[in-house]
Amino acid sequence: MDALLKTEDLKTNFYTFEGVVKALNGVNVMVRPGETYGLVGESGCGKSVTVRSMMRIVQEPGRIESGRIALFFDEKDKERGVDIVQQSDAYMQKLRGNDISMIFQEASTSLNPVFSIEEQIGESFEFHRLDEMLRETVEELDAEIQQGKAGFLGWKKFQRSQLARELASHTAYDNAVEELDAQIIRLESTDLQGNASAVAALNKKREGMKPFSLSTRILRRVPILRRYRNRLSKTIRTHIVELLRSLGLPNPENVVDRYPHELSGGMQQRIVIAIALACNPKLLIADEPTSNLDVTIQAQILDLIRKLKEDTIESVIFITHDLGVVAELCDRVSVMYAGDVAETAAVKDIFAKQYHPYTEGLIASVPKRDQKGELKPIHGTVPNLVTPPTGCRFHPRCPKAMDICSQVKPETIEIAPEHFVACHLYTSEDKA
Amino acid sequence: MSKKTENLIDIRGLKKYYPIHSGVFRKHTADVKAVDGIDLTIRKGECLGLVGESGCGKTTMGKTILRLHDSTDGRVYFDQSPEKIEELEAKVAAGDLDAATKKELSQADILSYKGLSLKELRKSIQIVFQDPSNSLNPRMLVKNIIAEPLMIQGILKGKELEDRVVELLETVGLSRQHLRRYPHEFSGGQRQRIAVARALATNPKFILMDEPTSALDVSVQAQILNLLKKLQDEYELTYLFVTHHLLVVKYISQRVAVMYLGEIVELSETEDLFARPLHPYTRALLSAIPDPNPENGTEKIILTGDVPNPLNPPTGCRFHPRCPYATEVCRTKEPVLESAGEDHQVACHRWKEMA
Repeated sequence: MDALLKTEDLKTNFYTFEGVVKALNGVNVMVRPGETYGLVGESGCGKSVTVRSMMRIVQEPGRIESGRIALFFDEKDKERGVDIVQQSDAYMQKLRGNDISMIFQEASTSLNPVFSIEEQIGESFEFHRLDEMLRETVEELDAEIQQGKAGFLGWKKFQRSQLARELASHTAYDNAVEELDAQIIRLESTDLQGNASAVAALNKKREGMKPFSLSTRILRRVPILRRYRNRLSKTIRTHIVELLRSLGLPNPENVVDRYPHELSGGMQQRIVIAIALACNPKLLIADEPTSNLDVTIQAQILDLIRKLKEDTIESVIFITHDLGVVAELCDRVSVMYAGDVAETAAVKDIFAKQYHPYTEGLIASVPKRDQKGELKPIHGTVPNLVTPPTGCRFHPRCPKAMDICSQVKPETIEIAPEHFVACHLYTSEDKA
Repeated sequence: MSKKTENLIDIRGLKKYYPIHSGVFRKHTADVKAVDGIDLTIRKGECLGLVGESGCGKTTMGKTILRLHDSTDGRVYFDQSPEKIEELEAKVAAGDLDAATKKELSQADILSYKGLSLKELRKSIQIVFQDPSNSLNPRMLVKNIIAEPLMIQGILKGKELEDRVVELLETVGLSRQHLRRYPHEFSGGQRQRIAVARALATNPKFILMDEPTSALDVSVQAQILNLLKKLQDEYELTYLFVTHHLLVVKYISQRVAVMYLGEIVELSETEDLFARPLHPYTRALLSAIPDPNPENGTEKIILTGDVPNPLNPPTGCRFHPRCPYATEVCRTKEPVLESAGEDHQVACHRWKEMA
């Protein structure tokens, strides 16, 4: 089966004073290339922890306990994929933003209030697309110098030579890192003894490498002279303005100089999306990007994400608790409950026929446009995951619970084509 | 609904401005017009939904009716006969009130209640706030939280008081064993049940529901909505249900008022509003709801821009800068609510052309 990202038996725990919170209980999800994949569930079901694990940004005291998160971005790794749980922090830093980007829930808290919009989006360009930006600036300067504009005391020539030097050292660093990464992945894929220590050594070497040469690092700290980089900032700024315009923000030239508090909720969310899109990621993870927005603004943002999915991004993971948003935006969806994936299917299939009692309850408890009669709520609440229910974690709230449900964790089976469910209702009958 | 259409609350020309002071002498320079001239009636025993985007003044309006905010202008009649209201309104419209009328008005208009009469009024109007984790005092036991209104009003004491608190807990689906606990020991849904029990304590006639389910999960939201519906039937309550979630409003209320920038733009029976939305803003709102049914492929009307600043609202129809159908008259003349069928009012210049 073709996949872009796949988790296998992923377990993430949080070590709190109250005890170990078993937030993820062996999660298996798969994102295919070219799809919008939804993750739904109530709060505390582990949706956010799942995607944070994928980015390896689970906050303290959380830790990925076991399992694999395989990425299939490169043609070479089509077979096994790259297991990002095993990769170094430096590797992850390169991956985040470049290949996988994330939009966080509350735009107002994920933006830094003391930096202007330009600085915040620019950071992303500076970090991930520096080579490209440097090259462009150098080319521009070259053209200007050829026209005979050297500036005051040959300032432009100095700028050009310095930026070119920075570019050269950064490219060299990038190449070296890439080579090391390839080496590491090659070593990991051959399960030989003694490889572990070799990998550790390489990882250490990788973390020790610096992106710029010593002279550049020094020059970047010298007052006045360090202004050679202003020219780079100017290039980045034009790119930011372009990006914001493509996201449908009115007069972007003006917006880049503002601070987050001066913008409305919808505009803030667009800025967060711009930061995530600065490096053309393959996979965009959206963690409830619209739950604090008004419906009319939500419609604007959903429309934007739909367009981006068509044009630039390959796949989107969309987390939400709003089944309506899922029905509208997603191709396939997984329903999560208390750290387990309860049911996975194409959106049309799951709204037509739900196999898991939790999915059924979830859909029955939201008011619909053509609602007839009473809503049927699910009784009780999401359990405390320090002491999760044994067996199937849903059994204390399940109207169809049987004896076996409190003892054995149900297996995931394919009950209909491309429709997966983890429930004893379907497995134990076969056994009996 | 076969209920009598008797009004419980009659709101006339309600305004709430927040003054802005600036300069060295804190001179009054401008007003934020949060609620700007609202006429609305709430019928006995109904649930009136009040919807709109954030910042449109729906919560401010609710809290002004409850006297949690002081109003700038307008009158709110609570449980008065229609003849008396009309008589008083006619006198107000004529201006130049004599002392007797002023006294009469101050007895009928709850916005001018003071002291004891205000305290007495609070028995019959109550509120359930949005986020129960903020609206319950974390240092009070549940029994004290629920008993507080009864103690302040001096209705019950001692053993009777405790019995009443237990009775209230049981009506909202909790039990005696929850009496001696603190709010943090409960889940969000249970906390909201406690808030509902507190609102019910003094046997009110009217409860303002200020987004009571927006902080809750969907499965719990359904529990609370069903509870509120049940209580309404049992105790013949009247609700003003403030929310931004249109499908919730459709589920719980009989009539809906749509608000935009401090004004009501459409008022109708729920079924009629969803079947035949007349105001362009209502249409856009309805089409923007994500429908949990992938088969219903409705066409979206996506509004551009944000809600304007109520500090200087657009001239004419306040919706015109975002309205796809705006013409010259919309920019200059302010539309008024006019009747557009039985129990259906709309404030738009062009609703007839578009219907």
